[in-house]
Amino acid sequence: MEGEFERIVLKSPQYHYMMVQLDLFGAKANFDSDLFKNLIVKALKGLHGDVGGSIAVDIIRFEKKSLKSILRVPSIGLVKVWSALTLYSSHNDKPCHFKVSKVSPHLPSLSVNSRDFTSELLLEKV
Amino acid sequence: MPRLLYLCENINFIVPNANIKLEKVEVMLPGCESLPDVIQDISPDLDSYYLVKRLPVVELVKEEFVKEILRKGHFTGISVGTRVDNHTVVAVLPSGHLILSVDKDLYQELGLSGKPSKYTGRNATRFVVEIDLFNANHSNGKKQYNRVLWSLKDRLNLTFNFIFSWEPINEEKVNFMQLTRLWDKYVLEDLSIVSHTIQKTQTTVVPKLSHNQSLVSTPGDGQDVSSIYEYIGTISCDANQVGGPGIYSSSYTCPEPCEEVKGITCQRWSGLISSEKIKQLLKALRSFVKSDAFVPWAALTVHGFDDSPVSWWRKEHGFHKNGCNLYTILILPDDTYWLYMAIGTNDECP
Repeated sequence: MEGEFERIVLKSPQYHYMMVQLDLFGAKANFDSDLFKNLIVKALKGLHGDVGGSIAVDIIRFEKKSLKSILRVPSIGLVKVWSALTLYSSHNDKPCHFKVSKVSPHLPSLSVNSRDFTSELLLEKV
Repeated sequence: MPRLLYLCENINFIVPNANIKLEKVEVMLPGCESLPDVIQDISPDLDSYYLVKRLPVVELVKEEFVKEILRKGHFTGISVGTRVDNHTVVAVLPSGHLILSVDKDLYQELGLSGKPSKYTGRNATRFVVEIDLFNANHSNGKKQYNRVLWSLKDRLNLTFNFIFSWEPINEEKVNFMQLTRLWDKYVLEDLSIVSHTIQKTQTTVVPKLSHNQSLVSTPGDGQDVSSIYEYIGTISCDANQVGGPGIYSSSYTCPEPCEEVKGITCQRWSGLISSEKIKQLLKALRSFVKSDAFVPWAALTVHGFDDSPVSWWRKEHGFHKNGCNLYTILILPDDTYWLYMAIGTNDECP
């Protein structure tokens, strides 16, 4: 069945996706996704005030053990979210930091990491 | 800030020949609780690729190697453990091109002609050297050949850990023995393609795609091409958060209109995978989607290496913040396809 050929080029993203990990420097804490989201909102409010706190960050994936997460952030708020997470340094008077490992406007690209894959290849064979 | 660029094309036939190095392939099948046999039978984990450590680059340009190996099959190789934004990366393409992405100091020491990288600004700090190994001037006795050998061996003996795959055209195993004979000083290790499955066996909702649906969405339409692509990404990343209007942690929901399916299978293969295998998978998926009424569509995603020096149509590829280098083919039962090409910040639009 012949259909029309269409080609569209999209340049303005609506969302960016971030892969982040919360590092508590060995301290134990019981996080779930709601608490994690609360921490992100607190970081945003702390640096950017109520305007920052109103940025709608969604948690796509959350791992309880490793505290790794994939976040969906509106593109207009990406710089605010990234800076707030980078500068957030303590939780309940204990030091912590957010490590942002990957940022992309394409969500499927966050599912794989070829740098880790190739370094594992070399490690196994040593 | 990472730039967004992706193209979506709506086409009736496929010629997947993008020339990017293939590292991971994913097949996503809504409506299936496990990978069907027809796909299992041609699964890439039956193939293997090879790792050779500390291989001098000069071995890849020697005339004997080009005659006995490159010209007699599809050879694809890339250096591992090297990053395209701060190390030297070497790649060999099936078209007979050797690509070296080097920094300024090495480029000046090497003495081969190349082009400055497009992604390092006015004062170029990275250069790309491309050598056409199938050129008539690249043969014993010619000046170009001698110069290349001298630069890569006598001037700077560059060695790398290299992974490669090779498919001889005539399927003769004796040709592989030629390769082991040529590289007998180096250890070739056989690596197998790793397979990983994500399965959702409970009833799930997936976007409902109608036949001859236009790529251009109308205002007020809940579903557009980017939200469908985002949905594919949530399955691929194994999203485990339930979202919705009243949920605090996430407001993400499946794009409307949507339909219920029994489950979704997402199978991923990792390793150096040949483009011939992708073509076989595409053919099998196409006939499977047409024949099975419970599978509304299928998605085939192909990821290239983040540190590959080249991407679409042999154009330069850079890393920037994520090095993404992938395409997704969404296969619909009426023989139409949507091809999404996700282009990174340091990549050219194909």
